[in-house]
Amino acid sequence: MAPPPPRRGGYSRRAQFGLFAGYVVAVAGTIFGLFLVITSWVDPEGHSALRRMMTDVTAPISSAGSSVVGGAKGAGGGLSGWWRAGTQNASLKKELDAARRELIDARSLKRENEALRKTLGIIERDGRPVAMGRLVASSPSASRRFGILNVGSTSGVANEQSVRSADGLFGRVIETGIGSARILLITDSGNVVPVRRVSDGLPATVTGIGDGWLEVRPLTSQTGLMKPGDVFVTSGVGGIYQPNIPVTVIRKAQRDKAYGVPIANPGASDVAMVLPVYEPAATDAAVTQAAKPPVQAGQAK
Amino acid sequence: MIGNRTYNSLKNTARSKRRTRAPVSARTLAIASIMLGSLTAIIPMVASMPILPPFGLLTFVAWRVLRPHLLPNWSGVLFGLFDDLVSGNPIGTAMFLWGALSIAIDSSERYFPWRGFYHDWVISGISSTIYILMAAMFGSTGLGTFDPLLFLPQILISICAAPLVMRLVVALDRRATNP
Repeated sequence: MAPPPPRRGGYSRRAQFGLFAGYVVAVAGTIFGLFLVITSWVDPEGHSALRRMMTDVTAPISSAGSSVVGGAKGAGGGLSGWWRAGTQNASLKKELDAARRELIDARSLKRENEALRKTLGIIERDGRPVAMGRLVASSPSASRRFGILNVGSTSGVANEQSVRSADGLFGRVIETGIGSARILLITDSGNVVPVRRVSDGLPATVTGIGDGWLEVRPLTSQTGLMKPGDVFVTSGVGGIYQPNIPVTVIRKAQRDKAYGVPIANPGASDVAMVLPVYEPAATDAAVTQAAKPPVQAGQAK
Repeated sequence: MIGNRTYNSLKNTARSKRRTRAPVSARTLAIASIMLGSLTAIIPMVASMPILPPFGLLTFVAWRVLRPHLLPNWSGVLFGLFDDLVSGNPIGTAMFLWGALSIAIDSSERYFPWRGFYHDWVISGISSTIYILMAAMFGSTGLGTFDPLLFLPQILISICAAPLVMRLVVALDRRATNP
């Protein structure tokens, strides 16, 4: 392409001054942008007010689009389900019988558990959700893993509340607008979730590494503790996440850490429940327990 | 793909037929297409890793290399502000990076007065690489590790998407200049 005419502005002093002013504004605006980035590191609270307003504006658009996406996925699933309905019916009936038996066992265990807990005096807060919404968009081109929720402060959502689907944990709320909220997903590298293994209660921490996998590190220095297939749930340590929410399943294990996939899939257009911040009252129970005289072995019958 | 000569002839083509359509100014089309490119960040797609190229930046650079004097120097800062508000990066990352890239492209014009298609592609590729990596650095909290290899697929997809965006921008420019 031919070289473009230079922006000299000719000999007119006004045109040259206009050009100079344009450059000044460009450089000043660029430096102002750098200044805004630095304030986002130093003062995150004031920085997020403008972003909250923008998610309020764009969340309804994403919400409408995501229901269309969910409808298209549902149509394909319905067709393939009709095709294999006959053979599936027989195998599903067998599974249902086995599952029913296990459900009865699980229910009786749950009742026994509740009775034991009442005996110990630990009060667990009822995990009723604050709000129910949907995860309407994520950030496919940004470097952080955010999700946008289509419920906001009018429904009672506040910062630091955890968000889960019926399957498992999505993440926690970091910014709340009037009708929308921004979630930091657990696959983001800035999110650390304290967890424990379901089978034996091994404590660990789960951090995202940014590409969809989660890094699980146990809190002890013993090596070779984890193997593929281990399931980790939140432990309630730290006070943000309610305990016993499924988080991850291990797929690859190394000596001192393991890599897992999140159990909850944010791309499945699922319903998202916003849970209140978990502040265990166990610390109060421990204090009152220490004040009482110790229970004798013969009396605990 | 598009050869050097075809690209140049598409840019400088003379009007062959006169069609009666409403005239649209190129500046309006440029502003609208860049803002629409930034808005692709809110499409209802949930991604587990950064994969979508920054279409706002690609469109902006495509208009810069096609019509250097159409948008003033400071327009990069305003487009960057809009891109930040929509995409969820800390406000100021795209303002700073798009403004700096716009000034850098402008000053590189002094040393390369004759530009072809491949040169424009290289400019677009370098701009999107710098933008993706530095926006990730600005957005990282320091708690997690910043792994540049994580963004390699996004960078490769952006470099491959650059000619498509340039072809679209050329089509918009022809629509504006051939009413």
